[in-house]
Amino acid sequence: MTSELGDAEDKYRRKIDKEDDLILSSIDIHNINDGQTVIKTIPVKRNPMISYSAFGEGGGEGEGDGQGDGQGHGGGGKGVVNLGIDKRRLKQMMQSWGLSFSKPGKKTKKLYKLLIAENGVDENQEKTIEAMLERHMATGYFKEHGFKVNVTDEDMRYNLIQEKELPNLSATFVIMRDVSGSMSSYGEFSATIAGLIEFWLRQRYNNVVNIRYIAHTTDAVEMDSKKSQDFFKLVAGGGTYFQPAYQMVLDMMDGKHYNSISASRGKIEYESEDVFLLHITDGDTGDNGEELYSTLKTLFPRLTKAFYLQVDTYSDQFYKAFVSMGGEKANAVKSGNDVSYKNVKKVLDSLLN
Amino acid sequence: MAHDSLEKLLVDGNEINIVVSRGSIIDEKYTKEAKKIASFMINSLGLSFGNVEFKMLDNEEFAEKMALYGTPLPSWEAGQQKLVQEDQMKYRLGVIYEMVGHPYYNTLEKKEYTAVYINQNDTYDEVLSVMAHVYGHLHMHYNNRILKTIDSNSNKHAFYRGRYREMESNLSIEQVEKLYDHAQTLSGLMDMFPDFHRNKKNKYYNTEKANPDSDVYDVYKFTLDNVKFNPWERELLDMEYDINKLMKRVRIKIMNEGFATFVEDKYVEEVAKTDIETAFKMRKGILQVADVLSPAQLPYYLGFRLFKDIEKRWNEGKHGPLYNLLSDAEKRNYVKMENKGLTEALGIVKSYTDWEFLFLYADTDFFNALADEIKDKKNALIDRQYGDKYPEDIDNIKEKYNAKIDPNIFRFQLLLETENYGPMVYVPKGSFNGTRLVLRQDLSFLKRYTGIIAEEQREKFEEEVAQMFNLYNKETITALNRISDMWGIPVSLETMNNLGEPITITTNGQKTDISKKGSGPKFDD
Repeated sequence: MTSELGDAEDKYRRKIDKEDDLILSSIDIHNINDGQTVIKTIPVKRNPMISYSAFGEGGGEGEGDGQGDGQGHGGGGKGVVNLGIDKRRLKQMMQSWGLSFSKPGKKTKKLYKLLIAENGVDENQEKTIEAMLERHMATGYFKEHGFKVNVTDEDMRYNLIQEKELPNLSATFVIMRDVSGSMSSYGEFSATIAGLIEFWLRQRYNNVVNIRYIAHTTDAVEMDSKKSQDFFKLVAGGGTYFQPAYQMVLDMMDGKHYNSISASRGKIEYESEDVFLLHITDGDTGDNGEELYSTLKTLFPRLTKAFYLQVDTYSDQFYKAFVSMGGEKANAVKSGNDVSYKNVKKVLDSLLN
Repeated sequence: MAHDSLEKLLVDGNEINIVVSRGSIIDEKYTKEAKKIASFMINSLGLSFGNVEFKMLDNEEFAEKMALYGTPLPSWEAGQQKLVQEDQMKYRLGVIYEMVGHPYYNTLEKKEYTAVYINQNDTYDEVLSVMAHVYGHLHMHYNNRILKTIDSNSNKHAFYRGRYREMESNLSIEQVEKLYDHAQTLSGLMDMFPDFHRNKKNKYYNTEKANPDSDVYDVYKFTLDNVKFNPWERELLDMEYDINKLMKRVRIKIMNEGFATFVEDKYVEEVAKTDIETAFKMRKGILQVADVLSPAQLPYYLGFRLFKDIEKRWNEGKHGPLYNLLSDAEKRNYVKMENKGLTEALGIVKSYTDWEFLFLYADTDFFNALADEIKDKKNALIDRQYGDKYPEDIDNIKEKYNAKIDPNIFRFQLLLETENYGPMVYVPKGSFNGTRLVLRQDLSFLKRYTGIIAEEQREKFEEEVAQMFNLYNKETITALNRISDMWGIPVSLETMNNLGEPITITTNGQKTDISKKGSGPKFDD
C-alpha cells in the first residue's frame, strides 16, 4: 500500500505518549512482560476551537454510520482510538524516553577475545587485523595511543568474521520493598516502575532474568516470585529497618539459610551472572548505624547496579549514604506518587541512565 | 443497436466514461452495471456529471483515503483519523459506504476523472445502490455553484504534503506540528457564509479612518494579513487555509446528502419494476440511513424528506402564490397534476445552499408532519419497552417523553445542527489598533431565523439562547490562548455567560481575565 500518510500514525503515537493520554497500569506492564498485547482505549484528541458550551465538552454521538461521503470532517471527530501495545511498542516507547537497550563496546571486546585466544586466529580474521594494522600505521595512530586494538567497520570490509554470539549472561533482579503501613498507597506506582525495569532487563538479557521479591519491615522475608501482583499489595504493620533486607541479599548470595516463603528459593550466583537490585521505600528507617553500612560495603561490589527509589521525603540520610557508597553502581531518585508519563519518565531516566 | 446506445453516455453532447477498478484491474461486471445506472440517471432523471472512476478499496485503504481527504497533511491528526476510521470499519461500528474524492487528470486518456471510493466488502446490491447514490453527489459537484468554487485536487494536496515533509526535515516535527495545531484552532474562524452577513454600506464620501474598515468575519485571513510570520509559517498557514476551504461544503450538506438519497430512491423504484426482491433490500438500506434521527444522520433524514415533499407538492401543483391564498380545506383537496417535481429538485440543487433550501421549502406543515412522525415513532418504542411492565402509566410516560417535540423547538434545534457548524465570530469595525485583538460573537442570525418573538415567550427564549450559545467554556479559552500566542498581543472575546449576561474574556496567552464589561454578543443587524 502506498503510504501517502507516511509516519502520521507514529506521530500520533508519539503525541499521546507525551501528553499523558497513554497511561499504562502496572497490570498492563505485567501483561506485556508476559508477552500479551494490551489494548488501550484513548479518547480522540481535538484541537480546541472557539465553541458553544453546549457542545464544547463531552456529549455528541458516535460519528457517521450510513453513507457518509467524507464531507464535513471538522464537525464531528468524537470517538475513541484503540491502540494495541506489546513488547515491541513498549520498547519503542522506552527508547523514545532515551533508555538505550544496546550493549556498547560489544564488538571490540569480542574481537579482542579472539585475538588473545590460544588457538590463534583464522585466515579471515588475519585479514581484518592486517587491515587494521595498515590503517593505524598509515595514520600514525599507534604513535599517539600506543598499541591498541581499534577495529572499525572499514577494517571488516572483507566481512568474513562470523560474529559468534557469546551466550548472554543471565541476570537476577532483586526487588526489595518496604511494606510498612506508610507505604500502603504506593503499591501501584512501585509495581509500574518495577515492571518497567523488569521489561528493560528482559530486553537486555534476552529474557533470561530471574526475579526475587523481598518484603521487609523490621524483618525481611522472600516472597513467592509467581505471585508478583500480590507482592505489591502487601501491607504490614510495624517499623522499618533496612539492614535485615540487605543482609538477606548477602545471605542469598552466600547460600546461607534465610527466611523465605517462596517455592523457588536458591542461591544468587553473583560471580557468573549480573545482579540488579531495586529498593523501594519511603526512607523512614529506624536504623542508620554501622551495621547497615558495613552490610552495604560488602554488598555493593557484588552488584551490577543498585537502584534506590524513595517515594516520600522522610529523611535524606540513607539516600545520601546509598549514593556515596555505591558510586557509579548506585542510582537513586526521589519521587512523588504519580503514575503519569512525565513522572515515570523522570524516575526511569534517573534510575537507568 | 440498443446495446450501443447503452454504452454511449452523453452529457451536454459530450461523451463521458465510467470505469470501476479494483487495484489496477478494471472490473468488467461492475463497470457494465455502473454504466447502466448512469444511463438511467442521465436519460431518465436528467442528471449530469463528468468522467467517473469508481475505486474498490479494502478497509485500510479506505481509512487512509478518508483521513487524507479531511486532513491532507501528514500530521498527527491524520494518523489519528486513520486509526479511528480503520477501527470503526474493522469492528463494523460505523459502515462508510462511499466517498467522493477529488478530480484527477488521467494522462493516458487525457481526460479529467472524479475518483469515487467504494468499500469492497459491501455486497453486490449494496454496491449498486451506493453507485446510484454517488451519481446524486456527482451531479451536485458538477452543477452546484458553491461546490464548483472549491478547487481542491489531489495533485495540489500531494504537493502540500511534500512541502510539509520538507518543513519537518528542515525544522523539527514539534515546531511544525505546533503551528499546524494553531492553524487548526484558527480554522474554526474562517468565514464559511460570506453572503450571509449584512454589511452596512459605506457612505459615498467616507472620510473616517477605521481599521478594519468593516466587520471582518474571516479571522483567519485577518490574521494572515496583520501578523508578521516567517516565510515557512506563512506558507503552512496558507496551505491550511486552502485545505480548510473544503469546509464550505457543510453549507450544502443537507441538500447534498438529501439529493443523493432522493436519486438513489428513484433508482430503487426503477429496479422494483423488474426485480422486486433486490429493490426491497436496497430500500431497506435507504431507510436505515434516512429514517433515523441522530445528529450524524440528520442531513440524510431531513434532506431526503424535504426532497420527497417538494417532489410531491410540485407534482400535484401545490405551490405558488395562488395556492397559498387557499384555505386549509381547499388546500387539502387541491390537485393539479403538473409533474414538475423532478425539474424543481434539479433547479434547487443548482444554485441554492442549505439555508435557502430550508427557508424557502420547509414550511410549517412540513415540520408539523415531521414532529408527528417522530412522536409516533417514540410512542411505538415506549409501547414496546414499557407496554407490558407499566400498562397503567403508559400515557404519562408518553406525555413526558414527547413534551419536547414541538415543531418550533424542532426548527430551532435544526438551526443549531445544520447552520451552525461553529460560532460566528468577527473583528468589529475600527476595533484594531495593533495592541489588542477584539473578537465579538455574532448571533444576529437568530433574529432572522425566528422573526419577532412575542413578549411572553421572550424570557424563556433568551434563557434557552444563553444556555445554547454562550462561549464561556474551557475549550474556548484554550483556543483564545492559542490565538493570542500567534498574534503576540492580548485577545478579547465579547460573549455571554450561561445566564445571558454579557462578559468579555481576555487572555494574553498565560493569564485569563473575565470581566462583566463589554457589549456582549451582537443580536441585531
